[in-house]
Amino acid sequence: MIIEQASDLLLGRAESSSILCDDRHRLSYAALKEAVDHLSIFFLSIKKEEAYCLGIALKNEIPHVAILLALLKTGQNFYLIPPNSDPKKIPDFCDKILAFKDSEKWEVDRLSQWIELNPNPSFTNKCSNIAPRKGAIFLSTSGTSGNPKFVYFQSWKLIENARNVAKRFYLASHHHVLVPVPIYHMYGLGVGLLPSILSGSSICLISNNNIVKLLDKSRQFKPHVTLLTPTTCNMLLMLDKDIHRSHMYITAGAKINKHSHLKFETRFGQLINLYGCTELGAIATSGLAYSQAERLAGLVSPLPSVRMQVKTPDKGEIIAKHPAGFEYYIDKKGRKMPTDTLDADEYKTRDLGEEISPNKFKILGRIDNCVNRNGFLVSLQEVESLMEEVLEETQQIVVIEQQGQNVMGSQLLAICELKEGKSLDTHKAKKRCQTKMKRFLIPDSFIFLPKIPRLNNGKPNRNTLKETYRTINT
Amino acid sequence: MNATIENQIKSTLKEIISHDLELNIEKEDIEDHVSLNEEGIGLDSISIINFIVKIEKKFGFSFSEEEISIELFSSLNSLAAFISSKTE
Repeated sequence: MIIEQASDLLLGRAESSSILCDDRHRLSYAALKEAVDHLSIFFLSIKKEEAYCLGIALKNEIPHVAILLALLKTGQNFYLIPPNSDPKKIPDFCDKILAFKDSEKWEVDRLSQWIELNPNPSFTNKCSNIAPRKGAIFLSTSGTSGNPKFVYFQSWKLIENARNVAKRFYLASHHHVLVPVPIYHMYGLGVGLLPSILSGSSICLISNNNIVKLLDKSRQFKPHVTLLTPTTCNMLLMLDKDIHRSHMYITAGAKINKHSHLKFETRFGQLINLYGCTELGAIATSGLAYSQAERLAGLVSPLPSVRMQVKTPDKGEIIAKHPAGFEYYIDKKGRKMPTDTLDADEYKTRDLGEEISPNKFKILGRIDNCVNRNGFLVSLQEVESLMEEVLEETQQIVVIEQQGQNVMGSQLLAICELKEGKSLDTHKAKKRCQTKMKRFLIPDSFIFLPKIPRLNNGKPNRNTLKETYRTINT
Repeated sequence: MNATIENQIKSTLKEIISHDLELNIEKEDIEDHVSLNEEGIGLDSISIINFIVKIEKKFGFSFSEEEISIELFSSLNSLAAFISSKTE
């Protein structure tokens, strides 16, 4: 696929009424195309070195989108720097960093008003001829362990990926898509921004999203499609206010529990689960024709031309064959890294799953977060989700593996956060679990807390819980 | 008269932010005109939800969806003026 062809497609389908907006800007597609053409001339003029790779901290703002499209159009190599990154940690393979100045204005013929190119202090010439020469996009993996590694995508594959998403959601130029999730991340970029541009849909970007901004923009922009995270879904439920209803909400990441999912759909509208990763982009989603029961059960079907399989008859690791996935990992010096997750075209997701019916899969959680119980591989996320269905008094359950083994195998402790005014004890909780769960899935011990420690984003602080309760005898 | 009421409201709002939201901000460090968002005090979504719930409890009214806006939550000044009008 020729890069230029791909970039033309990015700006080809919009209606004259389609717009792009953010907190400060509002632009037609025609004006965006003009800006991208101007910016492309600039990028072509500075492209002198073969190993040239720009680091860019992309925010949910229209000028940033224009820069992104110009980079795609001119086939630049670029790395999407997560915002607020330590400048010392920008990988050595980036020779320059494109920084945005805080300016309301962004005239394309006065670039120095709003952008600047700075050398990357840690760039080393040794990276020359290691990174690909043209049309390479590098993303950080969201993994938290080990040395930093970067995912190398060919730009046309990223666009192919976006086209797949647009097809799945039947995105069209009359649609309004609200993107409050960051576009430097694969979810915001590959599921929100690029598919919407490909379809010529109107797009509203929210930078530094919070619940007030989300309500405000939903009301003004009247989206047909809104991208959310599970945390935001739960926050909307906590806030308990009516909002302008999107026709469709998409959520990615850990699935919200069945009760919350049902409550969300009753209150706001259809909530689609999306399954994907940085390496492959979008892999599968709930089908638009799924029943509510199937959505609530967390079933997903692969996107057009993507194949998913579980190699063992029951549960097992999900293997995905994606025509537009990443190429390989590189290290911070731009060197290709060996990968044990990619075998020929098949990508081992490290997620545990189950094929419920032909082409309908249930994602059960990370394999790393699985334990052996009674000879079965058990996902702790699956246990949590099953427990949340039967223990209505709880609003959050975290299951951790405790030190030592028992007759079942790994020892499991369920830490349950109770709803205000509710009470529960171990005996009752176990009895209730026994009605719906296999014996080996039921944790050995329970503790009940009024409040579970949480991270700033509202998710339970699993590390603190593990440290606190791993060795405590309950 | 209105100014006095709004000042009292602002003082209560500061009390809520410093004591109830677990943000590690002292009441006297909160300025009336400073944004409540990331460029100012930096209330995240969870804090904003808790803030809204506490305001509704304390002042005895409920925000409608239309009333929750970026402008209203831009500073304590705008919020206090709004609460004052709701509780008159």
